[in-house]
Amino acid sequence: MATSPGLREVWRFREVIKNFVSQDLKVKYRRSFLGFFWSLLNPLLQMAVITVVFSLIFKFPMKLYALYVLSGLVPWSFWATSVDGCCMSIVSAESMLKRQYFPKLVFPISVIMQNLVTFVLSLAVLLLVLAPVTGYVPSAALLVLPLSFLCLVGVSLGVGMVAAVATVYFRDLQHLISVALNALFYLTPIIYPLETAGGEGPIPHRYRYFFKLNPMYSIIEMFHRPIYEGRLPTNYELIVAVAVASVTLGVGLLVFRRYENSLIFNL
Amino acid sequence: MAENFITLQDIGLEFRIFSTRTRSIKESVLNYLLRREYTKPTRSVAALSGINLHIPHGQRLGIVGDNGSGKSSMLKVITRIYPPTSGRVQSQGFLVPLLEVGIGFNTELSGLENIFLTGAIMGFSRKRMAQRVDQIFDFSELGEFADTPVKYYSSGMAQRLAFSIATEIDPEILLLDEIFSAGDIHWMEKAQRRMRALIDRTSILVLVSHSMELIQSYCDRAIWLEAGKIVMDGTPDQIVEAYRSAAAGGSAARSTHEEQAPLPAVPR
Repeated sequence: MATSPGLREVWRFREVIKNFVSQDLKVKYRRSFLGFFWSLLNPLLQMAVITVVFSLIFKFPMKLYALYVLSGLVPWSFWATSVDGCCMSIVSAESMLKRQYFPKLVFPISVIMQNLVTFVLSLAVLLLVLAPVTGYVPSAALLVLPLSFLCLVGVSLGVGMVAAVATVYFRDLQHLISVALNALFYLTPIIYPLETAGGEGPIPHRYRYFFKLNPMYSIIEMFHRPIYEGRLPTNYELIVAVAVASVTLGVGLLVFRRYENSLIFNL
Repeated sequence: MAENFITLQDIGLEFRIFSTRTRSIKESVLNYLLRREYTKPTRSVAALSGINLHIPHGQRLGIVGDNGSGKSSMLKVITRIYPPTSGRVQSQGFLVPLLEVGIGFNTELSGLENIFLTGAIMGFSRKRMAQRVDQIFDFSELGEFADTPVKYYSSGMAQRLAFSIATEIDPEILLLDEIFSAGDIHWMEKAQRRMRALIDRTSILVLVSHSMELIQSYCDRAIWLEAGKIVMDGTPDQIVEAYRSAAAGGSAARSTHEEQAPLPAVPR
């Protein structure tokens, strides 16, 4: 192993990351009349459709259901957009990588940071918009959200790093990943609740266990609990979420380290 | 000021050449199911082997050699774009490679924003870059297009901007691959003067060029690469003469070697 550039190297390139993030945000919002609000429109519309359709099917109380969908859908969108974006991040930087040295980690990290900006803003704005509609009262449990964000970012970056590296070797991976993300979306309790107070709920008891095996379940619950239920996650839920995030991040870093130096020869 | 240097210790760089370019899951799965030959035996090509080179502070090194002899690979190893398969690269000093101009331009962004981006890539903070913006626009004569997205620039304009940014940054080690061309005569002269001034300021220059005149006028040492190995090391005059006579006479040193196939390849 000639060189194994570590995180210090990435830190040295923080100006580059800053530039990538701000340029991406600028390009995204520059020529749109409504600017940032376009980015809200998508989750808002999605949420509206889901709320109307599913509250008719499942007969959930509409107002609460809107909040439930929102609190899961926004972090999910962040995750899905991040993984999807990371996928092509290194491949599409080919022309730069052939002219200058970069620690490759710069690219997935930039994608995550770009999404994080949009995500935090949209969550805040959507909550503000929805508060009067749903009669939402914020609780002190919201203070756990920074930790929820950390877990979410950990999972996204971990999977994103692997996706970024793997796509260099298999260019059609991005299509597969969007399909997989879509499938996982329906397997994660976001548009339906896993457990409902009192009633049976849409998922029979004996199957719930399988839903809980989904690593994304524990992450999304870190948002459901404080925002929708207005309570802190239990210690067990916390530990599982943190563990899922750290393991994913660790695996991502290992894979990245292992392949980082080979990437340039495969672009 | 610290002494700048570049040291290459026993550098080897191998490219593994695949016979097929199939890099998709679909292909891989089909190959497996249909029991097709996955990839024919890969062969590896040594782009560089056994390179030992020390470039001390103040030296201007020229590299000559045929296409595919490893000249560009060598610059890319020094820049760390290619991690070497074996050996060690060490360098001390702020290094700027001008391998191809126009690095990382985001054409959606304005000229000004691209200046900051390029600066950041080369290791300059926004603040330090902001001090240079005026000079860059002065020299490139693009001041009135500062806020125009680069995609509306002509290719000549984009290149002028890139050149001006790259040469406004004062590197301690400058790696040059060929000399930028394109542009009207007025620009060419201006650019050459500026290049000259930049080269005079840097403490180390490594220049790859097919122009023997450039090597002779800029460098004080030269090496001749042949099939990834240094075959001769000496003064620019010696090297240019030997290289020229070899080219003319087709000497024994000019073994036939394969063009370095660029991609796809993995190092071993």
